[in-house]
Amino acid sequence: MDSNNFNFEKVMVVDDAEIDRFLAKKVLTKHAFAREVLPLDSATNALNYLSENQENKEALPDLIFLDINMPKMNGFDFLEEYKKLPESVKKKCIIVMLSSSLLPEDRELAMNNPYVCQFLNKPLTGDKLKDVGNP
Amino acid sequence: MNVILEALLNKHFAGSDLPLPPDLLHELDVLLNDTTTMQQEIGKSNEETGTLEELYHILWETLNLLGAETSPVIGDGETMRSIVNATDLLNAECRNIVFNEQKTLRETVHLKTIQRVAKAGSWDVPATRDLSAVQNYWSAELFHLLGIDPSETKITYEQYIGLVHPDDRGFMLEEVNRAYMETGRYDTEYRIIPGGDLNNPRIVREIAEVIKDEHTGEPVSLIGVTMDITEIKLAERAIVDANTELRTLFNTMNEVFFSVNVDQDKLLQISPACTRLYGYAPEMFTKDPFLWFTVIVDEDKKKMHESNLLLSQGENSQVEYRIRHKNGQIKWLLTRMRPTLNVAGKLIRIDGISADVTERKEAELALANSELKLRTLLENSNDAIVIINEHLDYTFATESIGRIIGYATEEFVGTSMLNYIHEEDRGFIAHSLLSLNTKPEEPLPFEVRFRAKDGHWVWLEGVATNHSKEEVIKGYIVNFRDVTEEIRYRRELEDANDKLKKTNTELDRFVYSVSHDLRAPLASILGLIEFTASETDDGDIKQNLSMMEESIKKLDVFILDILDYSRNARLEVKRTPIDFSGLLIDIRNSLKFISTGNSNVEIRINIDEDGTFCSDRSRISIILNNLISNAVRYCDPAKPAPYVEVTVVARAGGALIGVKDNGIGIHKDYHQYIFNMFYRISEKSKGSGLGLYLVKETIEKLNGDIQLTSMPGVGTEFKIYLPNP
Repeated sequence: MDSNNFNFEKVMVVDDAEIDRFLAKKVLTKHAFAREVLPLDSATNALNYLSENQENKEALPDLIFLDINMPKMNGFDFLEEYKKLPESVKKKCIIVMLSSSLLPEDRELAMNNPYVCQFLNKPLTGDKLKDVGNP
Repeated sequence: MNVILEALLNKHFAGSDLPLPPDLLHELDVLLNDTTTMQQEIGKSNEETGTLEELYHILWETLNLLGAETSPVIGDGETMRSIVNATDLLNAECRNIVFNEQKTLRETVHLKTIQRVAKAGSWDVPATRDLSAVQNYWSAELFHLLGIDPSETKITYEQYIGLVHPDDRGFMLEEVNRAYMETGRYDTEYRIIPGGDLNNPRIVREIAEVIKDEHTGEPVSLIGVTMDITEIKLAERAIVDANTELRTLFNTMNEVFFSVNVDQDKLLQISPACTRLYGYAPEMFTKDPFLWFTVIVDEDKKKMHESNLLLSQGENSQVEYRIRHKNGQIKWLLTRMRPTLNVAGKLIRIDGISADVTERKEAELALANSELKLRTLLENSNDAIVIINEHLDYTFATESIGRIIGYATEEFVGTSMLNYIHEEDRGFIAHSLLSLNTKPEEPLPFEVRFRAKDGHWVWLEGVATNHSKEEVIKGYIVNFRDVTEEIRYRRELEDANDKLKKTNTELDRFVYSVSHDLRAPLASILGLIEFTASETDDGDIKQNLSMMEESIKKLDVFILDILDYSRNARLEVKRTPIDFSGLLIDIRNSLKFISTGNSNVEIRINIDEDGTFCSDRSRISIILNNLISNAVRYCDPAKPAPYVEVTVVARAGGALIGVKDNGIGIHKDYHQYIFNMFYRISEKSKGSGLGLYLVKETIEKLNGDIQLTSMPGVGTEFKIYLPNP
């Protein structure tokens, strides 16, 4: 595996399910999708991280896999808050929704959000990663 | 003296009816006195014998002229005595003349007055050949009648003719001629035009006689009287007109007039209308004085007896009764009668008038009948009808309110509606009734709680309509009935329904969230299995993982079906234009992920659409997804070229969808079951048993229809029709 051939430097995975964060890290690493995976167990923590590192370009992720169904703050709530972050953050991050929801409403709502560039159904597989980032 | 005498005599002989002028009378008086004086003197002196002789002769001459039958006595020396005698005679004669003159004067005044009062003028026309030139004698009243001033005009016959109405001149002249030639008199009427004014003609009657010379029989003059009879004529004409009118009325009116002499049972008169009314001519009634009674129908004869009693007491009577017309028809008559009693108080005569009132009577009876019917209906109905005036007081109520709210109409009418309505409903109903004023044509349905007499609340349901403009109603007509039971029942039903709806919604929500929550861990497991499989080269492990994967995918499909079912049941139909091409491409792509090794099945798509068809995209997606994945899943491995062919014809009117395959087919024994929930044909079936059930449910939701044709070994074809709403 060529260490210089990662698709993305830093990829954040926001999911309340540990198994999904674990799987994502494995798949992303295995397929050399991300040099560094940042697993976060809630939308709140993810926002905090982004907010704290808004000036630190190095620390900000290039791509965020965002789950929808999460307790307290779900994926769409996250997007509402994300909107308020500085342009510097939003410019750097690409957001991909990753959900087990097959509801067309969820897909539609996500795709209508200006910061979301893709909608993927779980589980995350190597095949699905091929299209991410270059739609 | 001679001159005076001469004038006097001339007048006398002229036969004038003019009075003597007062001065002439005076002169005559003086003459007589002179003569008397002379008579005394004559006895004293004999010296003037010659003069006496002369005077004597003059006197006799005068006497003769005056018509005295005596002859003068001449030469007996008794001249003086003779003169005296003659003077006496003359004296008497002159007094006679004066007396006559005075009498004539009185008569003349008398005549003038009579003429004026009677508007009758008299005249005298001398009979000469040339009438035009002769001057006539006209009495003052004639001048007056003709509008001419007597002092200024000398009247000729020609002038008179000029004042006769031009149209009447011819026959008037003829009458005059005939009188001269044959009849000697005439009595005629013609028009004159006083003052020559054609616009105000008067009608005159003229009676004239020709006066003939006693000896020769020749006409001397024509004397006549002309009377103004214009007023009489007009009055006469008015009477004639009125009479004619009355007669016409009597003959042509539909009512029958009659007069009866009761004493002799004799019909004095009956108007011809009886022919129409009874079918019998007046003569028939005259011939048979009891005919009028005979034709009265038996049941009503009593009424006539009662009326007779009234009449015999001198009171007017009015009877309504039926008669049998000659043609057999029954007619209603209204007869009004007036009695005449004699001095002894005995009824001697009846005058009456009978009118045909059949139509009115029949209408009245029909009305009474329908009124009775309506009343009976109302009183026995479960509905009540009341009228409420603008102050919301009851002005009318059918007795049926007793059954509904327990009140008698007497205690109810006059009270205010607001006394009875539940306070929570009061505002609404009062406001609604008033709102009817602005849109009177709209009936107002209502449901209110109403306090019945026993204190219970009764639910009333009804309709109010505004009739305030109608004089008889002047308010709102409200009809209502007791719906307490219905309302209670409905409330219960509504409650139950609400509960059911709630349960259903909760169930749907439960199904949805359970399915969804079940799916998430499955996806995680699938991801891990796939990742694990990619991490190992161990064939056994790989096979185990593959079986796990298949099992989980089956479970996933099952959950997805349940999710689809829940969505179909839960969500409203959302219609948008359907792009079948795009939809089918999506479906084909998603099939890639769920197909289990049957990727060699060719999916043929034939679409004919114009973009006008509208329906629910996600539901169509469910239908096609299930049908196509079934076709792929149950393809016939024995066939070299398995395929599924999707044909769509979509227009504004609807869409026809065919899904046809050459798969294993379904035996006709199972056709009736395949749409049932959880039905699976065999243990080999790979699906959840929900797929076709879901298809059917979804199509029903879209008001569509699905048909199946299938034969084992040949293939299966579903034909779907979906309407465009």
